Amino acid sequence: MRKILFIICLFILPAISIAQDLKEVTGTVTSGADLEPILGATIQILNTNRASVTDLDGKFTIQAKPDDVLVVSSLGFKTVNVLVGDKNFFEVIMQEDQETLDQVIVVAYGKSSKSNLTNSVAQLKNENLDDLSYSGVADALKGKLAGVQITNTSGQVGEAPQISIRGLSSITASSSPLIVVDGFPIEDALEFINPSSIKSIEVLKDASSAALYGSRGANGVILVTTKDGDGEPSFSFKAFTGVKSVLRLPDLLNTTEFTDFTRNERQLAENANAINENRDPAVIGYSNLEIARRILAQNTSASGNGTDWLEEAKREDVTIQNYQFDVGGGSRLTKYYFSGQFVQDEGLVKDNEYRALNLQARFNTKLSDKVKLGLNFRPSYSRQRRSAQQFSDFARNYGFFAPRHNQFSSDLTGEPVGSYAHARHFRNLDFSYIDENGDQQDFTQSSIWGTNNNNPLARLENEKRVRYEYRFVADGKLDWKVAKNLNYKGRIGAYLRMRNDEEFRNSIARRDGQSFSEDVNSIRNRVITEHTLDYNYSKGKHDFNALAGGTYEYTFLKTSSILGSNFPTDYISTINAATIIDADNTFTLKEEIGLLSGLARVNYGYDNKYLLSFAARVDGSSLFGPNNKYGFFPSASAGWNVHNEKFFNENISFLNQLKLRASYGVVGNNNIDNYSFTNLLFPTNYSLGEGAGSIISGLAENGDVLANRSISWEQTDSYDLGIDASILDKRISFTADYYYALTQDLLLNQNVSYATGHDSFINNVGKIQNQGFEFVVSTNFDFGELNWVASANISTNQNKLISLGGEEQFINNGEREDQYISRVGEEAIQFYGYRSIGVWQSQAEIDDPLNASSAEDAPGGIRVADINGDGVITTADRTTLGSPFPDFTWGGISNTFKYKGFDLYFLWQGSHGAEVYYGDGFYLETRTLQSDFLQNRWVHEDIPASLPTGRNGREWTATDYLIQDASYIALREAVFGYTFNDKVTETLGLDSVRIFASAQNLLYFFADDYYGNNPEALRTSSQYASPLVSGYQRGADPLTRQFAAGIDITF
Amino acid sequence: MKNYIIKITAVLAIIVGFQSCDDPIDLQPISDIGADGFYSNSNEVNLGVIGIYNSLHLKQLDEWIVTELRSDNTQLSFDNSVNANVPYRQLDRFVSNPLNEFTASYWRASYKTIGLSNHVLENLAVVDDIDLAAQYEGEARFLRAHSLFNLVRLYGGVFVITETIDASDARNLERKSIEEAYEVIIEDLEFAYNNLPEAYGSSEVGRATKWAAGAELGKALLTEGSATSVARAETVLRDVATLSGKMLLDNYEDVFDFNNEYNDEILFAVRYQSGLLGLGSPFANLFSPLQSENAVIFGGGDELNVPTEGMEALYAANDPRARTNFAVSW
Repeated sequence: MRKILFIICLFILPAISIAQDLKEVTGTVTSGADLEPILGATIQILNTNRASVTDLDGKFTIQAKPDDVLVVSSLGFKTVNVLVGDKNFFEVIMQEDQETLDQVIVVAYGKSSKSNLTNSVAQLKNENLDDLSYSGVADALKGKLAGVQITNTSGQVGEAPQISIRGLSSITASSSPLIVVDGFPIEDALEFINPSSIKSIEVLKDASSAALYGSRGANGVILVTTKDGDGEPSFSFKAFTGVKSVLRLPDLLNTTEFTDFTRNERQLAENANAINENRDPAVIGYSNLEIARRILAQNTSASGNGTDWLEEAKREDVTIQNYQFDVGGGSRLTKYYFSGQFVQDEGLVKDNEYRALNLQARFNTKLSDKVKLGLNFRPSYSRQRRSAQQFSDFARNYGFFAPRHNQFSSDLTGEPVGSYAHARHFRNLDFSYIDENGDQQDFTQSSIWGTNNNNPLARLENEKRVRYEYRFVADGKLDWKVAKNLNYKGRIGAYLRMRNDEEFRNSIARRDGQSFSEDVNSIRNRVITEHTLDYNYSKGKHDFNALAGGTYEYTFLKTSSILGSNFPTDYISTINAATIIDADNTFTLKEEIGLLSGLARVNYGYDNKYLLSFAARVDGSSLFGPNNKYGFFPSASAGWNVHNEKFFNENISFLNQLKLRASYGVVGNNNIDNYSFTNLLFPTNYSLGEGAGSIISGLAENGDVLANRSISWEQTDSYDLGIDASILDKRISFTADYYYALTQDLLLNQNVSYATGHDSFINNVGKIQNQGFEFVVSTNFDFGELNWVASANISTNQNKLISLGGEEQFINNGEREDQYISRVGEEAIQFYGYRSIGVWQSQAEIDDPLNASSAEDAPGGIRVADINGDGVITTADRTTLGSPFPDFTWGGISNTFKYKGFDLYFLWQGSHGAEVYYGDGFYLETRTLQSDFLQNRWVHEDIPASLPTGRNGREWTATDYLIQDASYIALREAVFGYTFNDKVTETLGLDSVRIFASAQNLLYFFADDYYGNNPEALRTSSQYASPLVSGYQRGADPLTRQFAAGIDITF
Repeated sequence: MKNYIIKITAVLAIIVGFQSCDDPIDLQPISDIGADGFYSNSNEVNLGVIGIYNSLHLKQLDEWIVTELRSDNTQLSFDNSVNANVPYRQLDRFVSNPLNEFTASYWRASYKTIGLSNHVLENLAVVDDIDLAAQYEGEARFLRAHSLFNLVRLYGGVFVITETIDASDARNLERKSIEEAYEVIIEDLEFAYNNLPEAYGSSEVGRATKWAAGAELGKALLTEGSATSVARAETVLRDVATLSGKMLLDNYEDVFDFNNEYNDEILFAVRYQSGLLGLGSPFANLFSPLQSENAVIFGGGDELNVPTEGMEALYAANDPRARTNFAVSW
């Protein structure tokens, strides 16, 4: 045996002597971001086949010659080249590669590489979120993520938009996704996170990716990951300031045009009558009312054409300002990152203003090789002033008089000069004028406009609505490498939000002269602890990863409210001065919610080709009824990296990557009212005793809602099929997804017989399905010095009600006579009413037995279709009239060009097929002032008309006449920047300087038949009466066009 | 290393200790009380009884609309705009609309009272004092019968609910005949008449007494109208008249003097209390003249229920009751 060994040695010896200068070098490879060892980094000798791979501790060993170059590469990091020289030990620190960072995807309770991902997760890296002149992060996300719809509700600044992912999965509970910041669930995080501190945003869209969030995952999950510091201290400062203007306003007649218009209509009617009566028409002059209106307008407005109330509503210079400051850095042991943002944003309407200060401080430190501690603080302050009057309140104010009395109107009405003028001041006034014959005419006009309300400016200026928010997030985490493949993560955190809503109304704000002040404080305090164990194991071609953990979340809510009225003076608005404290609105309330969960996930990969993942969560929640305390949410997904197959590599070379994936999962929506599982006893006092009696306490089960002891989460089962592919050296990549989700146990507020003593009953009964496609294409090309990155996404969603717990349909009433139907087998919400088919020309036409009509109809009114063909118009002729949901949205064709120091970015975005009720058209004033409603409207039986008139006949909101196409195409964002070259920055002693200019809504295309000024806003003055009411639009603030300029400095 | 493990374990122990509440997900309401298992002693049952009385406010809010407004005594004022207050107008003018909100809200309020009564009746076992238990039962059954009696007179055959029902029970309810309803009404009122105290201490004046129950029983019996009922009514009502100590006051206006609440002429009244306690009477505002600002009543009036001219004509010129019952100017 020894002999044989010796012979082998003899054979080897010559080889050793040939490679005489080869030596063994060792080293470690660590990540620059967290100084963690990098597993699986490749160390290759340049231009040879010799290579080695790092082990779990990031260590490697390789044979090399002194003049060899070690090429160290790893996925997601910049490749490092090191000359061997005479060193034998190397400490290689790799920096993350921004170009390939998208390869690392943040997922629920961990990270994954994109190639190993088996479910549908969209990622948005923070390229320029902080360039865009928005005051909130959510606005900046609009259009950038396929399947994510972001809807502004009112158009006012400081208002959080509504976010929905892959459609409407609930109709009673909220459809808002869960938002998780660095692992911490914070539902309103996007309202106070500093955009420059964001590293990336991931959206977990399918149930399998969101399954680890269990009973909160059904609406999708948005994961926000924030930055960390490293290396030399790096300071960056970014500031921009911008101006806003109104994109579009309704075209309204001024007083001169309006009185001409009404006079002309009477002339047209006279002409028609004259023809009938076979005589010459008389010349119709202005009526006394028109003359009074003209005299007032001429004498109270600078133009003489009346007050332009829209101008009164608008703030003069509308600006936005934003300042951000970041400091990050760290050593091998400790890293820190501080970030601060101050933003001040003004709305178009006076009084609407938002300012916020968002801060963050993060520390990470290594206690030992195995233990890391992290601390993170995120304090924030914001103040939002909401205007008490909306734009449309001004738009429908006649311009006959000015907001305040001038000498002329003061002399006429006896009201003091400078005091607010209201329509009711102009009653029973004596006017005189010189007619066309030079004669003085005197008359008394009883009223110029019937409204009793105060003018909108008086109300705007004397009602203050302010919301203050104070937020504080603090969390600490501990990472402990328990054993070679086993890591423990522990976390404890708290989120405190204090919200203070103040409202004060001066005595002169409203006609009743009553002053009041309301102060509502709400505190929400959440504490969370979370413990997970993570186990990694690789052997040969098998990769195995397992995660198990438990979390507990406790949320405490407290609301207190005081309402005082009858203040002796308007100078004091705090409630100490109130004469009366309103007992019904003065209270404190407390609530608490507990959520105890266990979670687990297993990933298995074979040869990076076949990927399997199973995940599950168990949620026990205090929200659920005693009969349904725990919910189980499993999921499974699989992926196939086809490009790693040998046959594929050999045959299809133009495809660099092709992955097929499929997933299934169950998730829930736990947004149910607290304590729905028990009937509550409410204070029900009574008066007893001799004389006037005195108050005696009572308690009774007299809530409106009957308890449901089995109340539970809504359950969504969802399937997702996806393809990821890339071609041309990964320069063009493509993702497509099809999803199908069925939500069952929908919470429905079912009516119960009053005989129970209650009105309604929340029950898990309905079913709704959502399905759709999402496509994303992105490119990344370098043409010499020109770099072009583009991305486009398009998504469709179709929802369908499957069941409403035994009911065929629900019809919900909106603000006016608008109705909404939710009918089994159709879209979840559709407009419901009469289909207009023209205008009734004459009474004879209405009376014609061949024409279907009803007693409501009148000449000049809307004629509607006799849907059931019974010859009369009844409520049975109502039909579906379209839906507020878009057919598809293309969230963006974004392009970024970089050439030398210049960069150009723009984003197109659009939505198609949604419809809205133009609710402002309910008002008679809008119907008579807005030019869209006036062209060829009905005047006389003999003059063919195409539009209905005023309040003639059937109420417009009961028909589809005001339902309009809310489709739009917007050049949403454009940013042009220039980065100064090194020479300049070095002279200034800075690392980099970039200046940029940005524009919002530079181009905006409305649908032809849309009369409003903001097709994206969806809401009335307050919340809709029911979640099944949507698409009614009244009082939205107009869209803005915005230009901003800024500077970005790092040093 | 070992040192670290000990420290970390200690920290973890503290963290875990933080979260180990007694029952982290079985959280009961804080600002409200869940009804489940609440009633455990007679004081708590008493709170429930007071709750039934409180529910009479809801019923009273609409009762005049479905009764007096429809009579020849009063009407919706002509000063009200034709388009305003349509549901009131419909009832005033006998326009039959199944969707009229007051037709539903009065029905709802009555069943609320019945439901709260049933809830108390089902929890009487915890009341140790036999007399008190009889009193609470009497009060609950008096109030239940009162609501049912009103319902049966306004709507005919109705659901007769004598125990707490849930949503699915409610789906399968059948309307009962008028006769069946009267059986329950008379039985309840007989019990109340036989068990309620004749009077209460000074702080509890306003609770239903034997005599209140007797008068209601007499009324129900007479309305039911069978020969035996009428005979029984006579006995009961004679006892009420002679034994109750209640009598007509000498001075008509004293009956309604707000300094003379619950006087000898009143057998039972729904009680209100001023002072922004949420227990105020809404009627002064509902009935006072429109645009009277604060001249008649603070907060102005809606003029929803004004006497008809025919009603006014019924009073002799100097009838002292006329100006007590209504004013003609302000």
